[in-house]
Amino acid sequence: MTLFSHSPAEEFPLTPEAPADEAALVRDTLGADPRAFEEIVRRHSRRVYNFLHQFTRHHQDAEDLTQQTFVKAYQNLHRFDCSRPLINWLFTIARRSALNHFRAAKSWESVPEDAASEAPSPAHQTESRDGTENLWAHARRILSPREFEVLWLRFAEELSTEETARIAGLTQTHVKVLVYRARQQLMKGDIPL
Amino acid sequence: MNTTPVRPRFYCRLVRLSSAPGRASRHAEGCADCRQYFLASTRLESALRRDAVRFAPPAPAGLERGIMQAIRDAAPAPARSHSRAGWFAGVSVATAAAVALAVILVPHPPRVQPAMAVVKSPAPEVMVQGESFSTRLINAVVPPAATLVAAAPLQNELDSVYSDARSALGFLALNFLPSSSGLIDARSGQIGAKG
Ligand SMILES: [Zn+2]
Repeated sequence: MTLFSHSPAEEFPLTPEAPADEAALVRDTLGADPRAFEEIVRRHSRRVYNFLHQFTRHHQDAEDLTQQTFVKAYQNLHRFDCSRPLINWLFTIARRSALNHFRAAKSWESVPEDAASEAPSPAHQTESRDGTENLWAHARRILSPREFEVLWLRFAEELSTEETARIAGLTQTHVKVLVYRARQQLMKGDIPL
Repeated sequence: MNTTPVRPRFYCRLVRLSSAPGRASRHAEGCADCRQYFLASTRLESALRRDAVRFAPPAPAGLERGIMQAIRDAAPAPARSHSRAGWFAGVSVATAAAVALAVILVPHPPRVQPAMAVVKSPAPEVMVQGESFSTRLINAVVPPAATLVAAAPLQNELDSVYSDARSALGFLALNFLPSSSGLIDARSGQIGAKG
């Protein structure tokens, strides 16, 4: 994953007591070990927050929804299929939480934009220091919400077509078509890559 | 970036849509347009990955603490796996069924004859109060075997044995199956997301 420059293990060194893998963390959480779920939160909360921020464009909404996501994950952990990466399941919950939050919307289309989100703070930069535009800000402007979402999952989150389809509730063919269209539109523009 | 042909051939579009790398590279060897397309596409994907990192919003201070607090405020302990609950329910039902079968198969002691004289006497108050809800429920639904014997001793002997079995099964079901409240709790936490 390239969303963050380091792996979760580098960012949050595990204590010697902490279980090494996710299945063990899930098992220990179900076995009422409070530290196990804390470790899950430490590993994945930033990615879930970032994912939600891409769609809500609102810090507080993204933070609230991140909390909701982990609460739901905690309450439903016994349903989690340990053969699947935990982060993918968290994305699925996060996406549904966001859609429920903006209940009127069937998709991301009606998600209100945070007016402050495009302010030139470090959190919302649309240009880097060298003046190149944030390609994702450009993508958000020209792509449909569906195309943006699928593109984000495929290339920012580095998920497979199959996992992207599962999270977005689409067929793999649909995902491929959306990615193809998104690519076409982004490559039409005159953006320095 | 202006490497994309305006109207690629149909087969080129198919290859570009397909995510099979072998097919794409074989085709691109002989198709300059597609070579350019895949080059541009690779550069685009790299730029997307780069900018996802470069422009990632900083996580709010106390994000993890807030999540753990929300869990403490809102969440009951995570439920054990359904498979275990299902296993327990299965064992309970199997046990109940086995006991009921045993009640049916084990020969009953001969009933007092003649049965015409048997009258159900009112139970002492203390015993009525001591009856469990399930016993009262079963008594209300299933007629006592003695009453059936009194009405038609020969014909209803089998019915009374069957009635005993039903009583035993009902009692076991009421007392040993997992409570419905547990199931409701598990369902109330259900969400569409499936692992
Ligand atoms: Zn071609």
